[in-house]
Amino acid sequence: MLRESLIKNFFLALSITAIATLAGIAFFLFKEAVPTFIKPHAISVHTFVPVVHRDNQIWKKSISRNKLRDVFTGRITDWKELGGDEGRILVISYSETTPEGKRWLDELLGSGSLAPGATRVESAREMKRAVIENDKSAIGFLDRDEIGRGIKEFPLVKRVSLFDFLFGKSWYPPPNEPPSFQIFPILFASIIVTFFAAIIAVPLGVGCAIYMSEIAHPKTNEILKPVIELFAALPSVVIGFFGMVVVAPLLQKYFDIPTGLNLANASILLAFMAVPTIASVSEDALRAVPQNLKEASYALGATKWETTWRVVVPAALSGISAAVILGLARSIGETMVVLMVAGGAAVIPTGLFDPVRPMTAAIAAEMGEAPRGGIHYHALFAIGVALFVLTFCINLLADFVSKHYREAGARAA
Amino acid sequence: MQHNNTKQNMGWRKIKEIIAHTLMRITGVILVGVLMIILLFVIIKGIGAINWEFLSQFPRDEMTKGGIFPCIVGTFYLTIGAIILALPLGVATAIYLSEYAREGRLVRIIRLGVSNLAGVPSVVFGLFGLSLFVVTFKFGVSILAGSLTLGFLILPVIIRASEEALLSVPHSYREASLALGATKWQTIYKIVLPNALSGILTGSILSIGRAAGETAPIMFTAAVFMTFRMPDSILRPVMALPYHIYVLATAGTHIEETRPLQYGTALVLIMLVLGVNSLAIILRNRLRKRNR
Repeated sequence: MLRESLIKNFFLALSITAIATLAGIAFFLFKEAVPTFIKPHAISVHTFVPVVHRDNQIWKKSISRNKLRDVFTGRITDWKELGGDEGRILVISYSETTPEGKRWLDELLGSGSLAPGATRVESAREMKRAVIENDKSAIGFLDRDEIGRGIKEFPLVKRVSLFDFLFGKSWYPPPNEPPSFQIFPILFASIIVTFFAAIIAVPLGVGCAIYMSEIAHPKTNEILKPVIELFAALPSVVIGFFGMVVVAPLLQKYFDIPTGLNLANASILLAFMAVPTIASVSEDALRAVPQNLKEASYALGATKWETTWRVVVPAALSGISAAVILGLARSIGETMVVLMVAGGAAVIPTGLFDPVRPMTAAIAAEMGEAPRGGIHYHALFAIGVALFVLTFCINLLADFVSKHYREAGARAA
Repeated sequence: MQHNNTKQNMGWRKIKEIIAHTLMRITGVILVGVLMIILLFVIIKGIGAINWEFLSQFPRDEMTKGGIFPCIVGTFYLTIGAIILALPLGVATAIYLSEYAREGRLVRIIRLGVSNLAGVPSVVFGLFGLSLFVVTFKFGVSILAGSLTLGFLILPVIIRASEEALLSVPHSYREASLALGATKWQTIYKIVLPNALSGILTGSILSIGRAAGETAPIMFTAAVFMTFRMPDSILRPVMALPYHIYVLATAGTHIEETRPLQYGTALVLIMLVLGVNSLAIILRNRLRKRNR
């Protein structure tokens, strides 16, 4: 008996390990994604950053854009208000007539004007000297590359808000300056690519399922079923490669467009990746329709097609819906195809032949360049979380729909 | 009147049926056609590149010449590593869930979670592997990190396939065995597992094929553009077939010059994956016949 319980506990331990690690997937995704919204990241105004004297310990802290504006317009006059030691702030700025001053002041102050007591300088050298001479009271701004000895960057930081992240329209990852992490264009790209893929894949997949379950000879099915399985097994990188070397030039030639790597190409290829799932799951649903329903229909004088279309398909509709949902989940999560053929532009597309960058492609393409622990790295994990939540919900929906169908089927039988 | 109407319409209804059936048949033809086009295209373009040198040598001259030997070896290591992790864990979990665990809310939730994880995009598993294995465990970009990532990618698939296979063994078998005085473990080991073996094997082989062909999960965890030596430890990065295709086709300065190598690599990968899958299909059909 001891042996029996040992064996049981052995299996228990292994399954706990497996399930805990799988549950850990969500944990680690969230853990890496959350800093996107908590940790402020240093930004610059054009290429300029605020600077202070080395001895002013304030540089160990950071300043928000609003506070920095208040400093430069003279609304904040004491270091204490920024969390430093008590002391007057002396604003040093390039004068409004220099290109540096114009760019910084226009961008930061907008219509406001520079603080009344501000010192004006004409060049980077004068700026550095002024900051060093005025010791702890000075704040100025410099090109990040110009910062020299005795001067420290006083980080101007920004926090990504969840609302902006989800609904903002600009995804400008570094090295764009300032970077912006707003995923709406890439979320939209994922959805639109999948939508067009569905337009192709649903008729093909469902049609093929109807053909296999209702029309085809069993011998035909012996060929068709393995074909569908092999299709599902084709590595996505090969399909993406096919899209690059065959579909893209064809599109370019026949539609006379600058590049064949675009939304349309990605949708076509994704459709063929979704078809196997849609076809095989729909086929199971169609086969599960009880024979007596069909016989009743034939007995009323319906033709085979009328029976299929008016009796079998409606009876299996929830199963078919679940199949479609699963197929679409697969297209949304597909990475290599969209990475290779979608074109990669992180903007909201205006036409069928515009290049796009879906979420999966953004993660795969940018992760290599994102320094670990940086804001970009965390933002890419936040996309991963969005993708995880999205596909998880879609799968739950498919589960729910197919359960519903099973109950409806049971009632019908 | 109604009857008359039906009679007149019978011809039209027949025609409608023929049209509809033809349309359905066309969808099947399109599917077979597209698969054939992709396969034939890669085979015809790739077969010229394949020779002994291509299979047995390192890339040379900035990837424009030489072979893909390190990629084949790398893919082999990664796949073996994944299966070593996922097979025992997956089968053990399935055995526990279907044979030992008391059917209840917890088991239902676990089952739902596992089947949903099987649908989570592979690139998300790549992120997970990057965060846990590469960064937290400090394995770096390595065979170990990549194998573990691929292993957890196929784990839900293996759990689900194995559980299905175990649940399909009729309950009467277990009862008969227990009635003869066998213990629970003896019943599982001697009766349930042998009957479920075909299903478990098919599921596992299919997932091997999947692991071998996946690119996104190994991009951040295991694969690199180029290694000059064979990896001498599991903490080294490797080259891999799918990643090699991606890199040659999209990056670098010699995209056009390396086309033949790209076709060749794609062909090798397809042969590998389809070979593994055909094996699973043959195995399943054979066992299905035997069970009949």
